[in-house]
Amino acid sequence: MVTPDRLAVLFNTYHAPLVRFLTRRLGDRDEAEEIAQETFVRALKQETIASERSWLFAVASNLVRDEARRGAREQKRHELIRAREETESSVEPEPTTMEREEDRALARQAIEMLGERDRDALLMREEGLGYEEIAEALGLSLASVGTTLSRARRRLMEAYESLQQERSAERT
Amino acid sequence: MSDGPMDAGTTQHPEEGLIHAWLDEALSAAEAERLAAHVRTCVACQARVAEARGLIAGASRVVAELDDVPAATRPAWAQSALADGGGADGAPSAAGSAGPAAQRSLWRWLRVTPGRAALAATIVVAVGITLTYDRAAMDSTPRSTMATFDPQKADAPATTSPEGEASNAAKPRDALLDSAVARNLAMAQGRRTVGAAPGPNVPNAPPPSATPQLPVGAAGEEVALGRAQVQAQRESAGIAADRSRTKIGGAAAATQAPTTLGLPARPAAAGALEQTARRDAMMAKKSADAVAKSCVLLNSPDSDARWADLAFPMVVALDSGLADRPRQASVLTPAGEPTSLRATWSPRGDSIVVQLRRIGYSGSIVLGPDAGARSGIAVSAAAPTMLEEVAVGEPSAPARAEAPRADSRKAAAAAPRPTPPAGPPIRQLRVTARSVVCPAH
Repeated sequence: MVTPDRLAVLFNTYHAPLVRFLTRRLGDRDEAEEIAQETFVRALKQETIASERSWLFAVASNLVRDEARRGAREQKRHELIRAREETESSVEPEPTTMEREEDRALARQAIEMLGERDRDALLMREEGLGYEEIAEALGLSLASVGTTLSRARRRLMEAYESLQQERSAERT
Repeated sequence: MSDGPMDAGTTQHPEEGLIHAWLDEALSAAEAERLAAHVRTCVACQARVAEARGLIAGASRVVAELDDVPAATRPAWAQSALADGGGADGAPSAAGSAGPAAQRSLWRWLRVTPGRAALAATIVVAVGITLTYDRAAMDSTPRSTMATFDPQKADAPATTSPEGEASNAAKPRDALLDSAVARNLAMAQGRRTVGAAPGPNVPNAPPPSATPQLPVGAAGEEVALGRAQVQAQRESAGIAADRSRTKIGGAAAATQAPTTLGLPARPAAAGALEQTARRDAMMAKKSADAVAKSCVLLNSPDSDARWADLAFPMVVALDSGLADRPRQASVLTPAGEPTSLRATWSPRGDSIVVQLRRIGYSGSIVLGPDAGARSGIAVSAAAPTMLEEVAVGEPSAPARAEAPRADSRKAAAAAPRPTPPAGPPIRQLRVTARSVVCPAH
């Protein structure tokens, strides 16, 4: 059984990277925080956890999938609220802020264009997980992690640059 | 580890996945050495390694753009992975000596140009427009100044030399052309300025606490009273959301523009006054129904008072919404730092119930009615206890407990769970609340 003391250690060690991973995955910091906490609650119920980091990331990924159906509805609501706020706002954002928002939106679109496994592998790798941990978390063979990552990176860059070109074409 | 055929010294090239694994330092020493040996002798693979390196760096950069925080907060290892050259770490050093082919890699070029080129172009255009803005604004006076405006040399100082003037005087057609350019420029700048009339010295939105500058003489007492009511209501509710404030301020600035700019206010007809008063009354009604984001400071006189795991005092930042409906809220420190607590703010009769929203905890604060600052009782507990008590009234009044409410999700999460860490016994805390200006963060 994971003791509260052990859980505190896990929390201090992995909470920040887990929230960052989930924020990148979901695009919503609040939801990321909630799922991260849910992940640690589940850790508390585990008898034993062999590989703690890969276990936490795997459970977080599963929770993201569980929330996906409900998230689609929430996302639509958020977009409506955001659109209304933008309409109501009379302040034009600074160009640099606007550019940054656009870049972030492009990055979000590009990352969403990846397959789920490729996306999870890439985001886990970006959080510093090793190949063994990624293989364990996603149920992959160790030998295929490199292939998965290379495919994810190539597709991400292709999608991102394609979106950038579309944006440039729209401006001209 | 190996995910593809590779044999150093032969024509068999490593697969892309293996190259990525090598650059990610995920290969064993023997595999890494074998691959490095092959890359040293294979020009084609040197180019592929350079391309893979660009993909890794580019993907890291794109992923980092997803963050709300600056990229500098990325893990240190990711920073080093982004470093150019790549000779710092073990495996990449072999590719770092890949030679000219690596330098010519398409990805190495792309990782520099795409986003930055677009950004640089936008900045150049924005700077150009900004630099020409003042000139076009001053141009409201001198047409001759407009005649010296050269759209091809927007950054150049205005021509004041006699030669320039003589040259311009010799070309009367240029004045027409330049005035058309200036008109177009003014139109473009007009689109960039939202919510205020184009022109110089657009007044900024006044802060909520600022005394409104009311054109009493021009618009009449009804208008002044209406605006004062709106302003007073806004202050009492502690409305401080930047966007809403700017919007209101922007509207006020536009309304006050004639006075601010020193233009004489025409004697308004009675009908126009009525329309203005009616519009202001509607604004006041809207403000009464819909409230913007506001903040409430919660404090407790009890020692070691905490709500969930957060010590008092704390600030509850309410989202905008209707005043008589439940509103979502985030819980901040008094300095404005976000915390992991969230809450729901619900008016119930004369009281207000603040429901804690945090996995692993259950709790609530009930604030009784009061003329100014409210006071009430707060309780919270770790989720396994599933205790939710609600008390209404003054701190000194006896607390009233309601039956525990089952929250299915929390209950499921808390089902077979060991006893939480020993903490202080559950107790009711006295709480005071007062509206404050939302802390900036």
